[in-house]
Amino acid sequence: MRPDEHRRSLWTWLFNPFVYVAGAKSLLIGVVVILVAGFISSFNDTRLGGTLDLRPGQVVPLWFSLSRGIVGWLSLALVLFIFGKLISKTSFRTVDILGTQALAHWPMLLIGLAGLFPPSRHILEYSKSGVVDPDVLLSIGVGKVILGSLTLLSMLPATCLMIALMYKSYAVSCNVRGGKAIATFIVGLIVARVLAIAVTIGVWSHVG
Amino acid sequence: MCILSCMKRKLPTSCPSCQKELIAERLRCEDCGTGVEGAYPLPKLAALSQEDQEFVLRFIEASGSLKEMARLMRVSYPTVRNRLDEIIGRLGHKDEISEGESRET
Repeated sequence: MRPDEHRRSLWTWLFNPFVYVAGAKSLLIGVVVILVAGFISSFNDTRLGGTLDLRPGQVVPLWFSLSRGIVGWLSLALVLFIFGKLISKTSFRTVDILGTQALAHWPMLLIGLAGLFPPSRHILEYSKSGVVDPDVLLSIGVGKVILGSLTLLSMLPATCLMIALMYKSYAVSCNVRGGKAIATFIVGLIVARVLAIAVTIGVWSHVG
Repeated sequence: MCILSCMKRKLPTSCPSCQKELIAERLRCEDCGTGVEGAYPLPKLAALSQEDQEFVLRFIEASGSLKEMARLMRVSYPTVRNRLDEIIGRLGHKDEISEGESRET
C-alpha cells in the first residue's frame, strides 16, 4: 500500500469506518462499545447515553447507566431506519443501520475516559453543585482546573465526531445523500432524542 | 484474470465532437484478416468506466454474491451494494432498483 493510500485508509477508518465494516460485526463491536462506555460513565457520575446526552448528573445504578446508552442507540437507529425506508431509492438491511449506528458511538469511550481523568472529575463535581464559587475552584488548584477544563473541552470534538459518524452510518447503510439525507438526519436526531428521554423516564419511573 | 487484462484500453463509446453514442462500423478477424462492415451498436456495459466494468466482471465471477464481493474487496456489504446501485443507475435501470427488491445473496 502506497503512503497516500495508507493515509487515506486511516482517514476512512476514523471518519467513515462503515466503508469497511457493517452488519453483524459492527453490531457486536458497537454494542460492546456502548456497554463499556455506560460502565465507565457510571464511575464518573456523568450522564453518558441517550441520544447525544452528556452532562454531569446524579449517581444512578449500573443497569440504568448501561440501559441509557442502549436506549439512545436504538431510538436513533429506529428513527433513521424509518426515514431511510421513506427516502432511500434502494433496499437496505436492518442489521446494517443497527450495527453501524452502534459502532458510531465509539467516541463515547473517549468522552467517558476523559470524564475519569481526576482533574476532570473535580470540575464535574464542581459543576454538579450548580453554584459559581471561585473559592471552590481555587481550592481545587489552578493547574488542575485548567487541565480538567481542557480535558472536558476535548469532549466537544469527540461529540462532533460521533455526530459525523452517525450521519455517515445513515448515508452508507441506507444509501442516501444530499440535502434530503441531511435534513432527515437532523430531524431524526431531534425525534430520537425526545423518544430516548420518554423511554428513559418511563423505565426510571416504572422501576425506580 | 485474462478478462481484466484485456480491458487496459477503454473502448470509446461516445463521439468526442458531439457526445452522441458511437457505433462499431468495421470489425476484423485478427487471424485471417477478414473484415466485416455494418452498423453494430456497442453493448451498454461498454459505456461504463473501466473501474465499473471491472466491478461488474468481479461481480459475475463472484456468482452475483454481494457478500462474496465484500469479502474479496475487503469492504462492507452496504458499500458494495451502494456501488452496484450506482452502476445500475448509470445503466439507466433506476426504476428497477427503486422497487425494493432484495439483493442479499
